[in-house]
Amino acid sequence: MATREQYLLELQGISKSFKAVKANDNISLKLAKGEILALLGENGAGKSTLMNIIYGIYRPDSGKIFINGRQVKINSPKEAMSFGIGMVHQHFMLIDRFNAIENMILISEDTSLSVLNRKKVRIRLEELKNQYNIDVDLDCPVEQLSISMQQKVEILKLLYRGADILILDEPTAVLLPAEAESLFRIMRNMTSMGKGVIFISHKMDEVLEISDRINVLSLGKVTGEMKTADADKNTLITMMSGEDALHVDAFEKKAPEEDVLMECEGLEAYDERHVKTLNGVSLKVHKGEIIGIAGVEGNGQEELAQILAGTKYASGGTIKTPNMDLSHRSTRRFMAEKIGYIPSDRNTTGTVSDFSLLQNWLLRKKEVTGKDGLLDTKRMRAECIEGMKIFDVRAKDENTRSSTLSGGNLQKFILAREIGNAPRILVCSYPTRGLDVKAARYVHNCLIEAKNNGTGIIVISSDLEELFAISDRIAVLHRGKVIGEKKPEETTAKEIVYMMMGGNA
Amino acid sequence: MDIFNLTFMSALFASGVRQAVPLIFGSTGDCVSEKSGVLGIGIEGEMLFGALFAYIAALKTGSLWAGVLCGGLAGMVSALIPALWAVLLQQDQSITCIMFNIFAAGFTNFINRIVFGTNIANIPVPTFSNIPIPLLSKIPFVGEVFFNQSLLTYLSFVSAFVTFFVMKKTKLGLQLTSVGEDPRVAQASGINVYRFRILCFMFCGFMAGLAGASLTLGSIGTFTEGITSGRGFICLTIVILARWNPLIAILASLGFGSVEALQIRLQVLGSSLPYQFLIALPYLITVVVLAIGGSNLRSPKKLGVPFDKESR
Amino acid sequence: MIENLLEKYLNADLLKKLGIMLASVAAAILVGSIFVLMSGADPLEAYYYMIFKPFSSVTSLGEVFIYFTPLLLVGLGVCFTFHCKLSNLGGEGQILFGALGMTLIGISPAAKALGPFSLVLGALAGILFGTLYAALAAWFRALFNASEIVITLMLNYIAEQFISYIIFYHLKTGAEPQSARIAFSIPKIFPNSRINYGVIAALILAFVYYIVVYRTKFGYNLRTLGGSRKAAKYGGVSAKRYYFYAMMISGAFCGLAGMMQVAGNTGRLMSGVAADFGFGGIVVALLGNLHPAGVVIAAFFMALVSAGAVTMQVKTGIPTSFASILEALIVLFILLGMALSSRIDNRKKVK
Repeated sequence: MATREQYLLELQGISKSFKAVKANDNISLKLAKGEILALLGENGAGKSTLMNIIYGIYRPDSGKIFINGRQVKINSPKEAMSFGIGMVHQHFMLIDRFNAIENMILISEDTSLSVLNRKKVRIRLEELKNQYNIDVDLDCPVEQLSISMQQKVEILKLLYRGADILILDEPTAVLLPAEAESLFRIMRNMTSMGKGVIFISHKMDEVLEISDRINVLSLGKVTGEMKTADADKNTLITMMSGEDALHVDAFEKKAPEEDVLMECEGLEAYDERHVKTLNGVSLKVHKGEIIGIAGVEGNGQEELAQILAGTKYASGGTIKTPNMDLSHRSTRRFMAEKIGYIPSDRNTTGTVSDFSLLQNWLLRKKEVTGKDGLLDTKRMRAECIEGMKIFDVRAKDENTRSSTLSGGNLQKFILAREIGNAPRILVCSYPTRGLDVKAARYVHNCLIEAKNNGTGIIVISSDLEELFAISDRIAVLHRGKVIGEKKPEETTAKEIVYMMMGGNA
Repeated sequence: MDIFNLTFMSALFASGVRQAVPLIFGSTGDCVSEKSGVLGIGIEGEMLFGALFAYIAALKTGSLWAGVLCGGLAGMVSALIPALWAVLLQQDQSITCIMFNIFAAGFTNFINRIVFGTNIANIPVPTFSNIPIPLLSKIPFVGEVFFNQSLLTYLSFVSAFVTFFVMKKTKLGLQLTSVGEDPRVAQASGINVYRFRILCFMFCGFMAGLAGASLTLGSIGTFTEGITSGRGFICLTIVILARWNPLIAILASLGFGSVEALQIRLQVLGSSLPYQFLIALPYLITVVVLAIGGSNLRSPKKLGVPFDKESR
Repeated sequence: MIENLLEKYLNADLLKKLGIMLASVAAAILVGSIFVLMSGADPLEAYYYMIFKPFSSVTSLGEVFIYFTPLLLVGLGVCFTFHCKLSNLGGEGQILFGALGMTLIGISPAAKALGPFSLVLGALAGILFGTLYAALAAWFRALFNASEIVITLMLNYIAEQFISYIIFYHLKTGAEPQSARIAFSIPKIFPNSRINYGVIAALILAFVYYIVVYRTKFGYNLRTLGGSRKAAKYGGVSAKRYYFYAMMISGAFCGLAGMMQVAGNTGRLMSGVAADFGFGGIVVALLGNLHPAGVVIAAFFMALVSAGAVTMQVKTGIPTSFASILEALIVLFILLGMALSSRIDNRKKVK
């Protein structure tokens, strides 16, 4: 047993609750010098909460934090940084318009009125670049760098500030395999210099590849702790799934029918930054079919969802239903064609947060006016109450402001509204993101039921378990193209992941 | 037309530079405020405050410089109102500033009436006299236009240059940009975003106050109600046109100043154009400039967006 | 029935808003007394002339309604833009153009023959002119993405000069730069008061406003756009088109206000016919919290203050600009109250 002083960071019995939810329950962990500690767990296992506690954003309800054997209280990110803790967030903390050097100066200790000394910073950064073998352009504005380069600027920033404990929050979620490899090399270089790295991930293969030790979190608790050398996939899976994991294949699915409900060909699109994100996507949706769209985030999913649901125009390609050509038609036309849409952003797209539930109920309803041309609130109220009852939306009444609902309830409300329109096609973008297991399962049941009733459903998700559980077909999106389609029963998660990274099927 | 000879032109442009002084002060201040992410619509009201108090102070103390200082301070203090509402209370910036402008118009008229009574034209104070810069003022044309001006005019140029230097060459400038681009990142880098924005707003108010002072003490010598007549809004347009760069803002201000000077001269000369058209000219140009120069630009990303530390 | 209504309208949210409004008015009046004291007058006396004196006779109350009609119309107009988070600060210009429309009809040779119909035609012309002038600002925004705030403000100055030019060079009669009297004015309701039937038209329009904004899909779409642009897009609402509609409707109301000014107050086109109602209307809309009943009450209060300020100046020597100080203070205090109350709510939520 090593003495406490040998650990860079030690947590003892950290607990943190949000209202009734115990996000962290008596968590203890240790990070030694020159070690990569992996924190493995599903979404919602409590990883982010724990890291935010270490980084001083949240304060724990109970528990102790030791740094180099000394007990500390971390009240703010600034204090965390003074203890040598640095964190690479999933959303980078960089000013887009600045280059790497300017971003460094911003966080430097220089006084505000000091004249910019780019040269001094450049020399120091070049040193760090060589030392850790980080290859990044220092003069290019961050916004013009690729995501992986931006991440390297972030890491450089932490090293520049002299961080000894580096926390990387899902760093590979946005990276291509080759980029991930180069990140891993940098991590190795850092540990060889005596720094400690906490690597947060839910991807088992990566964790097995890069880490020295693994802590598994599930539902806010540490469910396993081991040396990576001793770990194998099966035990990790058992530890990760806890008691209440999704039960794969618990659904009774009807087979899809032959009729094609929607056919799109060669869809192309640009995002807000005028970067081409869709590069010729072709899909067919059949009656009573759920198509899962898998892919690493940022490969055109958001644009695809919007185009299929008609809230964005494709810059190229066609969308057709048996009735009509919908290319370049208005959102209203898509709605009239009974194409439903569950957007990923529930609070500002799916609903207006300042509106009551009843008001939000009207958002995508066509038949809301009575004979006099005025809103038929009476009928809508009845419909809304009915829909809320069927879909088990827990709210005081239909006059409740939608912003007061929990994520799960709000999603149920949106489902009630969209499925209530009896859609022929339903486009779902990350339908269970941020929901707890129970609510997610409820959403899945709803989707399966709609499918069994003949709706063609497109589910975009990054959760492979979800896609395997509910899809009839999984299409993999990579760099704006569908690079392959598989039936879930004929493939493995590994193969899909391989395709997501751009490997050929 | 032989009236458009060199003497006429140099006199015209020299007058254009004088007319540009309030615009230079105002747009310099607004560059800073907008760069930090706060709309400078309140600058019109701050200018009014500056104009009135500069005039009163100059009249009571007999010192023009005391007037200028007082004008600047009045602008700065008045800027605390929109700053408090827009930054600390995170209210809609345009509504807050418009209300502040209404308040400023009412307040300055009110004070003016209280101090000077209702029906008397205000007593004029002497305006700043021209101080030719040795040697430079001897350059033909350019010397007459730029280097035979009042100290206030020189001050406006200097302040724009200094502001430009600070914005481009110091860490403060980087911090300013970061606060307007991504306040969350700025906060994480150790800046108190609220305090920073309020200070920027006060700087903007001070400059707007100087702009007002240069209206009353630079050319007219007295305060009249609504003396700014939309110059604050023209400053906003200049800043957009100049892409938040105080040096380019000088050029744009000179352009607008020259239009103003030309307009006055044409009126005096008895142009066949109706004078209303001439008065409206700067406003018309503003609209056209906004239409042409307002598109396809990169404004500070969080311009006009209140920052809330708590929200994620 | 009545219980239902009470339950529906007297919820906590509404009471809170009402409380904020009243507290803001009270706070503004309190701070305003500092200004009154500065001018050497007695605040009680000043406020008596400003707020209570107008009720003393039908004649003086009639003066209040001369302000009420245009304030209510402009207030309703800018509500449309506020509902979709747009700011129409060009009310002044649109009022002027509306006034021009009425004047052109009213002084035309045919007006005498048309009699009261000249008012209907004038109203239509005023609405048309105001709408088109507002459409210009909307067009600039839609086409060039230029901020509607600065554009509408600039258009005010341009309109002012344009009208000045018109009355100087084209419609001038006699020595003063003003147009001839229109042939037919809006009839008065009482013989010894200037209150006229325009008030009734304005009140009817307040009801129309309620129906359009709260009971039609159009109004719903407008409010959705104000609530969240993304949600509006999701609901199939074209932001560009609705911004245009809102701006134009807003201009129509302002144009009508200009028509009322000419046909019910000044009787002719002259400079200053807009009388800062463009900005007063914004205060009315915010003070009334965009709610039709609120806007009507707010318009009346603002009219009282504006009309009372004139009496107050005559009696106590306090400049009329005191009214705009009071206006601005009220709105600033409302914004303050809203900010504080939402902060208290948030703190409660965290706990």
